[in-house]
Amino acid sequence: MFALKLLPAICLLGFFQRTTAPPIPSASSAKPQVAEPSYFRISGRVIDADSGQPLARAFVEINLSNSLGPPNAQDSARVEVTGTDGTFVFTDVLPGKYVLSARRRGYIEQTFQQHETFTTAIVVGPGLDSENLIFGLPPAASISGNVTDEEGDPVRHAGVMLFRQAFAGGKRRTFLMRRASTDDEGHYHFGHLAPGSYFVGISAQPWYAQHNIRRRIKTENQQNGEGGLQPLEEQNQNLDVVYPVTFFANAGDLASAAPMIIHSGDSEIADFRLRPVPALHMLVKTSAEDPGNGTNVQVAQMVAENSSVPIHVGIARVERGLVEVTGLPPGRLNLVINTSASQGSEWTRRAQSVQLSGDTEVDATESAPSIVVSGILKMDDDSNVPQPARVLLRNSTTGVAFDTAVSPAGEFSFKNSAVAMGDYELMIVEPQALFNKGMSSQNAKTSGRTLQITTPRDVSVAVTASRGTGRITGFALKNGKPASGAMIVLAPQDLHSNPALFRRDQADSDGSFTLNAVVPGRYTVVAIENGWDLEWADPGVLWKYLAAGESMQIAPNGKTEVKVKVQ
Amino acid sequence: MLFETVLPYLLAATLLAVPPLELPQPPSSGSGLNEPRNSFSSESLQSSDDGKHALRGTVVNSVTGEPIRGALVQIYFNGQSSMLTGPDGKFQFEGLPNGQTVVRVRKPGFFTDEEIHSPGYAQQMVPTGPHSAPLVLKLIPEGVVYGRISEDGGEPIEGLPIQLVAQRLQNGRKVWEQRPGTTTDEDGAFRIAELPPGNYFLSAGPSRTPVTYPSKRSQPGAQGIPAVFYPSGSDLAAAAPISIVPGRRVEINLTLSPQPFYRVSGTIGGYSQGQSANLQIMNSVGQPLAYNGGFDAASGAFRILWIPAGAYTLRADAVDGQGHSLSANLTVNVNSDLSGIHMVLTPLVTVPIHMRLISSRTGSERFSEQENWFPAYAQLVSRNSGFSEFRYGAQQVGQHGNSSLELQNIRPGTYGIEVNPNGMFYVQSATCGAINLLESDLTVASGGSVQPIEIILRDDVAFLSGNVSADSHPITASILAISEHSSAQPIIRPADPNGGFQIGFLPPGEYKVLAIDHPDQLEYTNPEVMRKYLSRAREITLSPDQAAKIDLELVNIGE
Repeated sequence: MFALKLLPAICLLGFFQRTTAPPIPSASSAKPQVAEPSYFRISGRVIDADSGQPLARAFVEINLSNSLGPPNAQDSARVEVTGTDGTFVFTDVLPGKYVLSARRRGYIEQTFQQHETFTTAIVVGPGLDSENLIFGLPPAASISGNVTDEEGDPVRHAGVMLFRQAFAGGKRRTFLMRRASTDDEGHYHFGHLAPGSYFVGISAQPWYAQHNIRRRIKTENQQNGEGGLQPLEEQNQNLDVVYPVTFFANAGDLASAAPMIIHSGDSEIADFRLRPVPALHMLVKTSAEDPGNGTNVQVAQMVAENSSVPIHVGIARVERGLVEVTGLPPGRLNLVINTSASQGSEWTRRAQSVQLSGDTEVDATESAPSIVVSGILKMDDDSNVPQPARVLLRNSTTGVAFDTAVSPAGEFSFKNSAVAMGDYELMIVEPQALFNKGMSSQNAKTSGRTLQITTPRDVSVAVTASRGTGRITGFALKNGKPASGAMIVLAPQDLHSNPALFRRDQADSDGSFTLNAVVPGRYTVVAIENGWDLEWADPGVLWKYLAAGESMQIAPNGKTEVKVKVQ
Repeated sequence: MLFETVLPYLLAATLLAVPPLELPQPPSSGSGLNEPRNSFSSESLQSSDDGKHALRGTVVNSVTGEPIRGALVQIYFNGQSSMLTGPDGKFQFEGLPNGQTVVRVRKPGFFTDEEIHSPGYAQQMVPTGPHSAPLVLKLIPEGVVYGRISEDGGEPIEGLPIQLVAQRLQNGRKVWEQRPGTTTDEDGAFRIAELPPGNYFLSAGPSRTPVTYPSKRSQPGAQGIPAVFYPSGSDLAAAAPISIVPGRRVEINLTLSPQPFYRVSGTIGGYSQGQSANLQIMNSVGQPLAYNGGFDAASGAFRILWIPAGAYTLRADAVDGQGHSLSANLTVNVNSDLSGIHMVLTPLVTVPIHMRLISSRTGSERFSEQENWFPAYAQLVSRNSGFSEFRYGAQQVGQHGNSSLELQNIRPGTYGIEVNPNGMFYVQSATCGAINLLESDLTVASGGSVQPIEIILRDDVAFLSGNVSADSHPITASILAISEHSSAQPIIRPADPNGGFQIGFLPPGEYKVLAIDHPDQLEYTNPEVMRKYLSRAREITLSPDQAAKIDLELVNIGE
């Protein structure tokens, strides 16, 4: 089942599904005709996943999975501490479905048989085996290090980024896993790391840097300096320096960095010595009519796919329609240039990506302004939009996605997103009970959930939302018997264009699984043993499993039961 | 919420070496000219040509006297010029015109004198020219508190919140300043740097989740790490200050044992259908606790899971359909699981303020509310014992041309009033019903109502001017005027560099007036502290419209 604990990655990775916990299996069908409730046991042993040695003094927690809401969720927990032989026993357990988790100092806290955010929940009841569980915990590893500057002094407040390369959402991805900041001694530490491939990157600026303006500002437009001390020009060019983003060891970007392979229990050191390079200057040409009332340039450095670090830059107006941006590092930068034609008028937003290796000029007038996609979301039963609500706009070609909140009145706008022409999917990502039933739009073509933007004009969309997502419950069977731990994938009929329609689960101890918030449509459910390292997001990989899966049509509000063969 | 930080900008200026000639001694010592003054005459000569002068000096550690390598020094002549000091801590700017400049210096891990003491001082200018002296710029090294938290058995405690609170003087009053906190790492270690000198109080915990649970749900017995104030004890009264002098690194290790944790549950009523409420739980010093649990708006039930024993304030807040603020406050003493608590939200109190301005010329009211202008800004200031100080400013309500003032959504509690006139006026009286707010505090009860506050201002203000000297030499200082009314805030104003001062808009009455050198180091609102200085104060009685002149001798605030 989907576990609600230990999900630090969920916010970073928008592609995980979030499902509500399934209800407790009805006990009535199995209930013997006795007044006393029946009690069962959950027992097992916690071991070092590497060495197999039993782990004493590990905390094992069981949590009934159908908690009625946050106020009760914590309270239902029970904890046992393992003995010297690593064993734990929960007695007097009522029938139900329980999430197990275990923690011990020096090990990675995990749910039972955890994969990504899924776990094998233990189902307790007559005829079900909930004993002799082997709960392996991997020893925790760490990466730490010191960041020093060109003089050997510690760099404090440096941004340290930890990237992990792992299977997530059916793809091998490199994603930003954690951020840290160096302390006053230039030290950083990432603990509680599972074995795997990691990258460490540093984003910092020399504390002493002075980013001067090279072009003299025309005095007719000279701004009044604040406090009279605001320098127009820094006279010492030697301090006009930046630290380029650096990846361990000595790589300028993630693509050219070698991964750090971390084994269980490793304590790896990754030290950095930062070297300043001259800061780059960029002249940005804006509209000639721009009277200088407003030009602002936001710069972010791309450090990895979908990861960027904002860069603090200086901006000075050189003359009408021309600004100088200072303090730029070399590398791939995303620029957002906002201009307003006159005082109080609307801002025009242009986004541009540049690869900087020297001083440069950018003509912002040549890039098309961003397209603003906005709209109204209406419920098909005319009710208010439940809150909180969010919609996601995903470019079908590049996979780049933006999401934004929907007001109770149904209004939403992607006004802060750099939307360009192209094909997009519009999905309701929250609440999960809603789905996009159909759309119409101005200045774009719509079909189903797809939006084709073919002109550089702003787009307004009318979305009809329906509450009727369906649910699939079922059992994974191996040789006709329930099998636990298999990865369950619900694949839409069109594997290519609708990644948001996929749902997943992990079969629980009785083989049961639940797929929630299923958007009505045609699907195939497959159960794959040891499938957690499978690139199932690649249609070519998933394709061969589909034949042995179970196909079905999910109607609005449909509740479907299915038995799936484990492959 | 808290004391304004004393570090307003990274680019704060340091005080500078004193030129040998005209400028007086800067009010704050710490930087001084230590090199022999006659050394410049032979060395600093570049040429007699204007624009060919040099400014040079050394940046040193104020504690050790050692030169500081790689410090950033900045001067301002037709733009900014920056350089880093060399390995010997020395810098030299060349080609400067005859003139003067502010010099700024900074380096990570150090503070400037101004950052630590008074940010309000005027920038000191350093002259450049054929006779400019080498500067010695002192930087004050930071303090660091670090250590390790472990359980009885030596196991490190991870993820425990660590808070550091500094006690400082602000406007002559003791205030708390909360430093950015941290949490212990997997080795139980913590480290908080960038501390300016001062007295600090350290607290650790409570742990957000228990460290052990009962093995049966119905049993009590969850245990967690309680909140501890260094060196031990559960509240601030038992805490010992950690003294950070410049450059000091203090190691604090604590061994803590798990204590029983409890659950608190109940219901909240009084919010409208379709709305929700927000529940906070605060410890004895008013800090909100992170807790697990929550509030279910549909049933009105709340649960707070696993907090250590202690006295807490539960506070529920909501906004009703019309946008009015509702609140409920309840003090609970937790030493077992508590259930069945019921809190009812009631509207917060709004207090109208009526202001009158009496003109001394006509004896009549000069100010009319129709003018849509108010002669003073009024604030209520909480008088609680916690770390945070709440202020409520008067809001203007009503249509333009017919507006009035209100203090809105005042939480239950005890408050003092601060009235700052918007012109040449003084506050003659501030009352609420029979309560004289210049003498007594205002108590706002939960769900109660408060009579309008009446403030009377007058314009027959008095003026005080004069000169400060020390050993018959003029010197700058801060002028402190303490009114005969014990409740009135002392008035403090800086004198100019030559010791001259003017204080306008004083309420007529008797004053004790002092010239002091370090107002930031004196708790001048505390009569006990002031007793030993008042014998050296000048006494003066100011009558309405009087402009009086007195000369003062500088009083050094004892180290």
